[in-house]
Amino acid sequence: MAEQKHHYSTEPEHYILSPETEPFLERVLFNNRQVVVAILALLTLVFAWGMTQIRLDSSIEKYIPLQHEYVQNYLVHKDDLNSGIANIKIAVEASGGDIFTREYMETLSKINDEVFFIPGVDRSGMQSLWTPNTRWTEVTEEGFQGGPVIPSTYDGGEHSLQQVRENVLKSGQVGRLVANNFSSSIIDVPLIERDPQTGEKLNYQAFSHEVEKRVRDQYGSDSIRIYVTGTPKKLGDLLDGAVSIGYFFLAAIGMTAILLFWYSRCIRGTIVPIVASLVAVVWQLGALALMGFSIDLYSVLVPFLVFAIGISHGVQIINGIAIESGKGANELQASRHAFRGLYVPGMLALLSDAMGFLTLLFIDIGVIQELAIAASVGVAMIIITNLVLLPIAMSWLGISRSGVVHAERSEQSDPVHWRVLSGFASRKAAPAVILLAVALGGFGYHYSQDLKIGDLDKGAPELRADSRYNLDNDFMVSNYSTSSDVLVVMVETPVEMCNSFKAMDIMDRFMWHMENQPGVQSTVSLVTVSRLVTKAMNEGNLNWYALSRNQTILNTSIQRAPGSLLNSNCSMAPVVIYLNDHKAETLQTAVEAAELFKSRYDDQVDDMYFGAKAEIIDAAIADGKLDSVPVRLQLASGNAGIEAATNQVIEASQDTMLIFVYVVVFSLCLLTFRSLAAVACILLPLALTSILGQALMTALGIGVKVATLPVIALGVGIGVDYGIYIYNRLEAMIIAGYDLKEAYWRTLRSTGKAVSFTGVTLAIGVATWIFSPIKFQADMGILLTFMFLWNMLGALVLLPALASFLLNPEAIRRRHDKRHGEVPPAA
Amino acid sequence: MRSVLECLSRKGSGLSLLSTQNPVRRLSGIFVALAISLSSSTVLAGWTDPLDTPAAATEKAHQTLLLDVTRAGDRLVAVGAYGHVIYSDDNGQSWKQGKVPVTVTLTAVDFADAQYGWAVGHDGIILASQDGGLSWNKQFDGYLANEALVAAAEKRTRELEQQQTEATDPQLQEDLDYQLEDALMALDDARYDVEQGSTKPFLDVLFLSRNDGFALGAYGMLFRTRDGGKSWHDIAADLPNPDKMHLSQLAVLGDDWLIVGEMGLVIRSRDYGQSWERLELPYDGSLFGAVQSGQDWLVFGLRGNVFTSSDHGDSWRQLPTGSEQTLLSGSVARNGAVALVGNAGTLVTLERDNVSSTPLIRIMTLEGRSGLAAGAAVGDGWLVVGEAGARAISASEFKQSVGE
Repeated sequence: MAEQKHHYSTEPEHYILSPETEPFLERVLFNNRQVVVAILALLTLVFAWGMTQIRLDSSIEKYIPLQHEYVQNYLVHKDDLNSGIANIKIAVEASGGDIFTREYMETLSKINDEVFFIPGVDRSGMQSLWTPNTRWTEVTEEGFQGGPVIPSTYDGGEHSLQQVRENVLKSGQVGRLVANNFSSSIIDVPLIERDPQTGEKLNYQAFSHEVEKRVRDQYGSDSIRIYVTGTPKKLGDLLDGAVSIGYFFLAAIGMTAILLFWYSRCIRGTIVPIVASLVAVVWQLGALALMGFSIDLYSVLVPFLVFAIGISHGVQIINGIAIESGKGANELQASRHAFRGLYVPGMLALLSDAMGFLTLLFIDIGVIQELAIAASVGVAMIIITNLVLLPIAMSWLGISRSGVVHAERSEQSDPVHWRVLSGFASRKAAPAVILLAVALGGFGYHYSQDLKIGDLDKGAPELRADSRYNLDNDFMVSNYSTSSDVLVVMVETPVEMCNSFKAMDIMDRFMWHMENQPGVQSTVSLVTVSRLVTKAMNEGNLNWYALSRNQTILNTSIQRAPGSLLNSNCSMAPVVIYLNDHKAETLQTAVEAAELFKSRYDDQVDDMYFGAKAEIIDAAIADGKLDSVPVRLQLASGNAGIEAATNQVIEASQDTMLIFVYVVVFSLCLLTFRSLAAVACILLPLALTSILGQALMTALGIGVKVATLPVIALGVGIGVDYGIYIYNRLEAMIIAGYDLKEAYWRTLRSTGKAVSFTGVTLAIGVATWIFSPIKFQADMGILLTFMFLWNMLGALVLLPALASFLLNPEAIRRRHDKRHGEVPPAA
Repeated sequence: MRSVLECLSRKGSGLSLLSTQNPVRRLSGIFVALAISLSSSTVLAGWTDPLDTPAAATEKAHQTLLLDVTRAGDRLVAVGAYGHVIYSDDNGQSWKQGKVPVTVTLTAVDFADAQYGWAVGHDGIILASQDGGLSWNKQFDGYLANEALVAAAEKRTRELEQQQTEATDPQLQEDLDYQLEDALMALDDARYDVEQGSTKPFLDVLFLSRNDGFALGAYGMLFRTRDGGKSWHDIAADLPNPDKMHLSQLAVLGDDWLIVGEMGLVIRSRDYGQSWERLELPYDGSLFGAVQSGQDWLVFGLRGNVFTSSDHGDSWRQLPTGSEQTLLSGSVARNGAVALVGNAGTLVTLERDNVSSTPLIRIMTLEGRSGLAAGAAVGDGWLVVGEAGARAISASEFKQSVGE
């Protein structure tokens, strides 16, 4: 019986190409161990060199769906819209008082000077109470009168401060440069994105550190508080966060090592899988760098996955070797047997991982696609490093005596928990388990109906709600009349016609249309400026607060409009719509309203007329080809516009992706096990996890977004491993002649521990992300940890329960006998 | 259309039983889809001139730019941006929107009685209502105004040419030469406006009766009707306003009529418009309005300047208000108290007791400091309109804010 068991448990019951190829593969690899290791070492050197070439990529474009119509429209005008993105705002608060004190003004002046000299600052564009471009104006009988808000006669005295207070009121800067409650004021700092001398791109991270050091650290105190917001600062914080992920990686390695040693009780059995998995990481990073990819905030997580997956497979091999060694095999024999027994389920599991990742390619967002490629490459690397390199290395090193003893002891031991678990493989306990699973599934499905698309928290979604940046952002939003959630609609006209009455009137109506939508706070465009200036030119009389039909007046009124409100040749003018938040519903309402307006107002004329020269338009109007100046609205830009596009892409692709990933694992399992019952046993627990995962997202208030979409594919792709390992062994035990309960108990004794170990190592790898300062990494960490652990539980509990109903041990044995007869295959 | 909606809504209640997710939203989605399909077949695609585009229905008209408010009987009627006319039968607690055939900014409104009212605004629009402000129809617009101005300019040049051929006195001829030159320039301007389609805003409207009314505004525009607005006549030439200063307001002060305008312009008629004379003020800044308080006249304008006259405008003296904010409009309560409103949320009240000769002046600055364009007495307090829409200020709130 022992002979037979030995035979059945190590001979591959299933194969990938043909029964003949696999032993051949084993022979080739193990008969030329030195050559194989030499080649692998050489490759490692090459990839290690490649890894030094890798760069961190902070470009925004990879995070957005480039093919989406909105993004395409945005890219057309990207350069025109760029102004305004690269600036930061520094709010200086006099805590508990107001800004009209000598001390505050002095500090503000010092900070202003400090910021002025930070490299990268566009000094001419800087604005604060202390810059000369902050002026007050008023209409007098003689015309306009005005001056700098802080007069040249300022001396810090009571009279001067009173004067500043009056000038601030006259300047119209309350809510913009000065807080609505007068307890803080802003230094608005535009940045030069490229150094004019060297042409080098501004390093946001360095800039952000400089601001922290020279402003917050130096001037922040109990009486003066500093708040900094703006895209460059956010990017700087994100890049800082990305660096901290390195420490998490070290932590994950440490925890895994401890676990591994506890599991194997063998130093060699601990170090070799870790080294092999690290080699996989080096290969993966090196290969990506050599392929020309860079690391971003998502793919920086892939090494964790590669490492964890590598360890989990390595552990199976080590376990196998230890068991074989216990049976008296020498190092080489033990390694070969372990390889022979495990490379098929290992390869199958890894292939399904890789295929699962590749389904992410269906999502048209750069970071997700690169994540898919990076993870697939990484998993492909594991096949070589952990299924080939590791057993070959162990064939020299071998398992230590203590490890063998430990493995033997644990195989002989009969722990209560395996007995309990094996009970689930009987028809007595199984119905309860299945009922519970169905109930959980129903509950999860019901709960997941409220799952939202998009980011649900306020502030910068990339960072945590309680991060420094988001707290600062909160301060700005609540004390100033601005919103950080902006939808931009680009109004296109022919050249020099963005200020024609028709275009301006359409913008005006569009703004009012949008202001009537729930979730819209206010709107700004060229029309806002034109109306204000027209009013000002008419002695501040509110009756003139309207668009003029007189083209000369229109032209004059926008002469000094900020460059961000029209492009250089006046063929595009953005309408900026400030939203309450960036919740998916808010975005959708706003975007739908804009689309409705667009459908009514867009001139349906040939594309060529937009951005065309005035002569062409005049000629076309004269020819009767056009009725009037063509105008159209193009969605969308601004963080809200891009996010709306992203949400649409995600909504459209989430079901497709889920279907594809299941089709892939279904096909792979069916191809290998050639039994629908087997596939059902493996996939149903996964499906339950997917449903509960969605319910968990709903409960935690995590939306389906760029960061969480890959989790589903990763969860299924990696989660299937457990099922494959367990089913593979279970089937072998059934063929060996045990009844289901006994077969499952024996399965648990040999692989159960390895499987639960796999679940825990994987969970450790991703759980460290939960502490990431980058919110989407934390979200991914929570969900993946849940999915890895729950998938393990599903495989250990639900799989046997299902098997007790779906599998027919007799039929399995018959099929095996029919195929292989009494003689075991390929000795 | 209504029957279709009713049918759908009945059907909708059935639908909501079937749908698992938010039945209300699903139903409203159907309505929106229906509304779009209906409206797209009736509303012309693409942009139409604001003078031909009906004002869109909105819930927010009372929260956006409003430029004038008046009484139609007990009802308050206010006008403002995007062709908004809103009315309130509860002194500004709640507002309903009137049906208006244009989307241009309306600057002024006046009712001859509870039913008959007129509103004027940008693009030379004149609207009339015969149902107390619920619905409005177009009587006149900038294109017609431009044509009328061209016609008037043509008539003027013809007359001058005629006079010139008849004139023999060289002095008179030289005068006529200048006048003709001016007239030709005016004609050119008028023709240019017609060609360009650029129009001028009316800034005020006043009706003496259901038939007799005025509309006046930018560049000295003054039109009069005697048939309730069926025909409007350019009578700008009657005014001593050779430089075509903007006319801000025409006020009836007792038996006299007073027009105030740009750069200290004050014009009075003591014979119901038969003749007009320019009055001299010790001030040449722009004036935006005039009211009568007791026997005294008040005119006001730029930078908080208020002038008062006790002799029907023959002599004026300045009333120091203490405010530097431009005052745009005035209204008088039943008890004779005057409220002047203006930029930066400024509300200046002038109350007169029987003892002292100068009124008690109090200034309130509304929170948010958004500009105010007009006001009306409501009970003991005021209803003001402006940049941020309509806002009622009770007597107690006012007292509190001025520190009483």
